[in-house]
Amino acid sequence: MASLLLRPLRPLLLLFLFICAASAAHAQGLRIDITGVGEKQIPIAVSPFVAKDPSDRLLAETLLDVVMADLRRTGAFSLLPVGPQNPPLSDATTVNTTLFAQWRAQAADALVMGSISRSPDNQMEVRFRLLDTLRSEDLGGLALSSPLTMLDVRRSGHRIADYIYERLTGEPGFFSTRLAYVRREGANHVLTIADSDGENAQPALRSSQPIISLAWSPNGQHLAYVSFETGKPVVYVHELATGKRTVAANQRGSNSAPAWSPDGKTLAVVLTKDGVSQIYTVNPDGSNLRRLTRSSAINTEPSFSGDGEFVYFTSDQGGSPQVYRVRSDGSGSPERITFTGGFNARPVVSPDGRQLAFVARRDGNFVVCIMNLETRQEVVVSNGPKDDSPSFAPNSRWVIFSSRVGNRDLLSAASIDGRVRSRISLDAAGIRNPAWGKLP
Amino acid sequence: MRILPPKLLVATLGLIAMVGCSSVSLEEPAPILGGTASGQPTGSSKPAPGSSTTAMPGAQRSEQGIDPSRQAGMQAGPVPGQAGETLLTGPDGVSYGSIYFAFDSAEVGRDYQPLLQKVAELLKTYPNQSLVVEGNTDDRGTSEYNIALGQRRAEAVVNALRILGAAGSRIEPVSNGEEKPRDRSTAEAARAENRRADLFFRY
Repeated sequence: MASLLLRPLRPLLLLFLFICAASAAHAQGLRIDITGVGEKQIPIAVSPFVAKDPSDRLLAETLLDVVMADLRRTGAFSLLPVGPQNPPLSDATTVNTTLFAQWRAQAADALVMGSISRSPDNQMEVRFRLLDTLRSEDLGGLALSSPLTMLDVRRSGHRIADYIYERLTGEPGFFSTRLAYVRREGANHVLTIADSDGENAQPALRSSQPIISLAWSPNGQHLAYVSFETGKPVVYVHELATGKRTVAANQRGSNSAPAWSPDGKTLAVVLTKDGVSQIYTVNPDGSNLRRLTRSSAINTEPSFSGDGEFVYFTSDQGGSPQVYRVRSDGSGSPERITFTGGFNARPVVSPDGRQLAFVARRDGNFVVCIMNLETRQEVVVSNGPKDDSPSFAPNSRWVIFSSRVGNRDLLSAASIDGRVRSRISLDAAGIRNPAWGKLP
Repeated sequence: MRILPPKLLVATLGLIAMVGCSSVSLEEPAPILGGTASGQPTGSSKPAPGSSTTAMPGAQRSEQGIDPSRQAGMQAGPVPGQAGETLLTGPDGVSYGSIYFAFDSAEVGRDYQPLLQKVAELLKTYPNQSLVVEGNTDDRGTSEYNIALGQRRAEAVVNALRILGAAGSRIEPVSNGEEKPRDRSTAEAARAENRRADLFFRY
């Protein structure tokens, strides 16, 4: 499908400085504002995509918009203006020392040039090439073939942005991922799946009762969540492609906080069938229910470690809610992880297993913290006052979370060093409970 | 004694046929079609009174839907109590009584003994009647931890009723956490209103 035309190159490293970035992008009622402090930004020139068929000019403009918006949102790039070129730059442009020197002189560290055309069977062909002008290196590109639709041109744009991001920062991209969240629509709660930029939002479930605690399965094909549709919290597993829903846990009392094991074969859930909230494991179809923790204190909010060896969770066994971890086979005793302040909860381990996001109360505000699990160093990455439900991007470099500002619920995102922060809001009612999807 | 008139609340599950606009490109996953619950488990899995949950199924999903008549049948008809009368909770959102809690506390205050005694008596008088105790919290903390806190409040109420001789097997403690606030504002009075357990008779 996508043929690679590239030569290998070692990734460039980002150096972090403090540079302010402020920009906004609109998408289907979603508004994304980058409000935080930026990193050192890579100056990049993205030249307009050449439309070989003049009737595809709108698609070419959309393609450029998507790529630029994706790159801008990361705070890792400064996008240089590119005026009209004669002849126009495209993937067919000859790459030579003159071209590198010309763009280096315009302070561009990288240059993107490409085209959009139609194949004989009326498929859309998007091609581009990425140049490292600073090092005079051709970083290759992609040829993407897809149906001729606006949705597909957006998807091609995300693929291009992923390629650029990965080549220039050394980190995997995340623009081709999807977001799940719950949108309030009047009295209704709508479980929604959207592209990473908020476009192409599709409802998956509409309910008059709350839906919380969304969790993507490792293969990205299922969502586990808690729905109150029967009048109390019940854990469901929703297969997105077929729409089939299965009850994973519906015991006496409350059923909540589903978390997938890394192999996708097991869910950790929180049940109260035996009294106080405790962590159990269960197969996604509801079979093989086993109790994992035994305590007279609250144990909740489980999250598996990257290797599946541990389950991190919140417990008030020491008098205040703190993060602990226990072996996922139930052996041994719980080990306390957080010690700063009187409230640390909702732990979630990053996909690479190296970071722990959690919600902490600091100076009366509920904020998102990131702990490096190796050094146990903590960084506060949000402002509060009421942030919740952190979820990592698949590249483990970003978290998305719920923020309540006044009476409004919106989503925020932050880089794990806290330096770049963005805010995603809906014009009308609130959005909550985000879950960042897997790489396709 | 407060006897509410019988009221049959049948929640309907609507199945909206939506034409799936599927366009798959590149290596993207299949489009979202949504779905509806299948394989209802044991236990109380009927829709809540006044609740409606509608999946967004694809056109090919019709054979997978819940049989609405079966769902409705689960709730049809009042169940007479021993005294030939039926005790029912009113429309959604109207509880038989509420118990309020201090911040970060699950202690049932002494002031609620008369209410709890009355509820325990009702459960003895009407053996077919069951009770759901819904615990609620204010919006401080995380949504999942608040589910656990609300549950602890509901459990505390159930324990108080057991001490008064009510059959624990007919009382289910559940939690709404912070998800169903009566008052969405963040003023202290609103938060106090939301730190609450509600008593609902069910049958």
